[in-house]
Amino acid sequence: MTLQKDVETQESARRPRRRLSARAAASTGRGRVPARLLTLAVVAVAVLAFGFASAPSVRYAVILSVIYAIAILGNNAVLGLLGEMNLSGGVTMALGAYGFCWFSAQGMNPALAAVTAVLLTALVSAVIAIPTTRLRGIFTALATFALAYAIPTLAIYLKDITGGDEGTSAPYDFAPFGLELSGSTWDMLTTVVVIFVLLGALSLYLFNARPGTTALVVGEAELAGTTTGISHRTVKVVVWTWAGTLGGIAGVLYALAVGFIGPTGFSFMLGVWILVGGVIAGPRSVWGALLGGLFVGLLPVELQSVVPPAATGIIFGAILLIALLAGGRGLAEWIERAAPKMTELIRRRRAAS
Amino acid sequence: MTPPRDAALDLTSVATGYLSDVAVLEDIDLHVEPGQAVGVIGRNGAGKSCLALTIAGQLRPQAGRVTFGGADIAPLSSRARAGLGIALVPEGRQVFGQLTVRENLVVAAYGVGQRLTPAAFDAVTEHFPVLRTKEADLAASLSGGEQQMLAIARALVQSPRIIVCDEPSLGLAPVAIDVLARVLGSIRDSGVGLLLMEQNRGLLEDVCSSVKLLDGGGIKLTVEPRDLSRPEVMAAYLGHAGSAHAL
Amino acid sequence: MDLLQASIVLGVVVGIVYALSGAGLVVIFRTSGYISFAQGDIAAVGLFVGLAAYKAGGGYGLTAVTVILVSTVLGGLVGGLITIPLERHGHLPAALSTIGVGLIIGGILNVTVGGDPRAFPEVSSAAAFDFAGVRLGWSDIVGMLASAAIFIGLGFFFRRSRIGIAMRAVNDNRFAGQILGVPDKRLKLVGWIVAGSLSGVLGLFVAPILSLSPVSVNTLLVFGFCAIVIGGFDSIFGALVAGVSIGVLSNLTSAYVDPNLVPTVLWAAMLLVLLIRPNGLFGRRRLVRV
Repeated sequence: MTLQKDVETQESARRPRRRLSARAAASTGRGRVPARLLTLAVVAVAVLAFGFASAPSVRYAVILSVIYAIAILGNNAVLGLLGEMNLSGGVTMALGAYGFCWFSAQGMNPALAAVTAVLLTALVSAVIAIPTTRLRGIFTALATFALAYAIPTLAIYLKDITGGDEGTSAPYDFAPFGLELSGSTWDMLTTVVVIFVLLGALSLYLFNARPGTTALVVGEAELAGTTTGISHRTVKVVVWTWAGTLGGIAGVLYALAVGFIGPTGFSFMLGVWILVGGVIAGPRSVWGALLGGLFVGLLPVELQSVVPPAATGIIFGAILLIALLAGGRGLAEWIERAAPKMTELIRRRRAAS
Repeated sequence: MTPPRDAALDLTSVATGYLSDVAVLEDIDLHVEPGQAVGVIGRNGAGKSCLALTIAGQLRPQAGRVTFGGADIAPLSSRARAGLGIALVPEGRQVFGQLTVRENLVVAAYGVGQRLTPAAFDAVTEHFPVLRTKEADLAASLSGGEQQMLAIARALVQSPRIIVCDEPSLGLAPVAIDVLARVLGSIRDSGVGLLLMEQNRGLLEDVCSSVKLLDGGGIKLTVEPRDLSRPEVMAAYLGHAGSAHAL
Repeated sequence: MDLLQASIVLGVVVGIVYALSGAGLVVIFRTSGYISFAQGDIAAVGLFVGLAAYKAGGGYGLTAVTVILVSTVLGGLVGGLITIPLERHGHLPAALSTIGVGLIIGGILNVTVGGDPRAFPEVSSAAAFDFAGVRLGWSDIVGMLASAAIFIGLGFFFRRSRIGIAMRAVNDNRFAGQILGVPDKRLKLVGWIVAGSLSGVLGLFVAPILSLSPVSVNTLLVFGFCAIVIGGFDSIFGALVAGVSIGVLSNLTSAYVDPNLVPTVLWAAMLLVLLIRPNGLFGRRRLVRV
């Protein structure tokens, strides 16, 4: 018996240690961190280059796309790790945006106002997450749906803070480090892309370290109905707060880019788009969030030159259905799986010729 | 398509498994006729549930024939098989927890296109008086033994010719197993064929007329129930032929 | 005092319609375990076809039948062709697919008929009688009675009828249902068809009040969600009580505080109830035995 065990140990020592198979890495979005960071960097540079080369109107859409991508990145933690439907992505964006504008209007330094707004959003998200994460399955979707639906009218009601129907303006002279942060400037584009890459790298790190594993275990355990000795509630609240924080950051950037915010910008459809963008692109992929952002922010703009604006919903719905029919894992994972096969195919062709 | 009353279930050289290309069981031959109880004994993982699911139509055989009353039933769905009179009492009871006891029986009758008449309810619960007193309770609130009774009652409501029971004694108290043995015996005597997948030797000895030993992906032995306690048979079903002398 | 009475009486009237908007959702939830976000869009298609029939000279009866028929068929198509097949990937993709369907239908409606609100005929514009100083119209009365009848019918259906019980069974334990020969896919389709026709009925009551646009029924679905969540998915009676409470609550909020606060109050009420009683005020606690 002991002899056999020794043989086994030697066997496993000789084999190169692989934490995850290629397939496991693609489907969970874990492992292969350097490769993923590289992909993220390449995609980010591509988005930057595209944005710089485009006309201001398209660049503006790219900036908004990257901002949505930040919110999607946060929401994907809830969707991809916990397997829960969160429709309140737009709510946290509204909180961040309105908070930023209000704090600045109170005479606060804009940089401090931005940080305070994000912290406030994180705090409110945590407070809302405490009851919300007690709900199961479809009820989280319903509760966040009702909240997302309430936001525009709530913004009108709180008109002393939000400016009501007319809306409120972001500080227009905000220029940290000499960066001109507004509208479709190059500085704005660079800033949002850099922030996305930093947050993406952070989520990759967290995802592969203990917090990500714990959250994944909680999400899967809920499906299997098992107990694991982890406080599920705490983990869930943390994940939802993380999503809310990223939503808050996206909201601040949104206020800066748009310059003027009003209730119509935060209709419940915004939350739907953030969720749908994540589903289409793949909820467990970081660069997929960027792809999702481009879907939500850029595709409608580009589509409008082909189809009437009212019809963009048809295209979106169709893409969403196709993504779901393909297994609901998203485009990014599909590409991640297909890419090695493609390179292999090309290599073989070359070898043959 | 209604089979004759004496319809027998036959498996001939059946190979089956959970995946279409990996066989868990191979070359299985079985014959169960109404009024007869056949036992299948085997360790955990020997393939008892796999065999039960194949007979119930949840798994497709990879090779061989499954016939009922002489007609090939391999292409039929679970629903069609239930309609023909093959009922499965699945492992782990699988009652509808959020439905009442009576509603569980209503659904079973619905599955074979019948109504649960008061007469049918009385006939079935005659075996299980406890179900009659807990008629309006949620199935999830029943004890393990009561849930097993309900699972069997649910099969009986379908007036089956053959009942396949997958590990009915699992997780039951000894007293409940005694009750189970009595009930299964009277079901057999009422003319229903029983295929009993079990690990509990006592239950098999009480109910069955012959027992198949499932091991190593096939039927290894067919024995009389009273032979189950013989050392060489026990050794075979405990898995290690070499450890027979230890017993 | 008049304001209070009016708020309460009209709250009850409209609350029953709120409850009705949750009814279709309950049917899908009880068979499949998730919620359709497309019911409002399905109803909208039926309403626009019905409006076309009305304009072509059909009477109210024909219009109503058209609306219900179209939304019934469309509900069945959406469920049968898209959502139920997607269940093999899990409940989440199935629920998400209803959002996709909603986007597509909404887009098609925007392109074909446009987003402008239109008037929709009602059963009768005549006043029926005064109740506690509040004038009620015949359409209010008919809406209330029809909703109540549908609720009682649904309660009976799920408690007593074989199909209703089997539908609950399929949602409870799909494997056991299959073993027993319950045609689970067919029952789920029945659920979608019934839900489709219910949303058509709802549309008939909503469209005259809110006027018809691609999103008008969707607006009401939020109230429906709240009603069934607060009342409890298990309890038809609960949904009625919750619907009425929501109707009164939102009318009071609207009258005494601010109409813009109504959705927020609803959300808060819903969250509060779920915190205290996770299965709703009248829902049964799920018994789980491991």
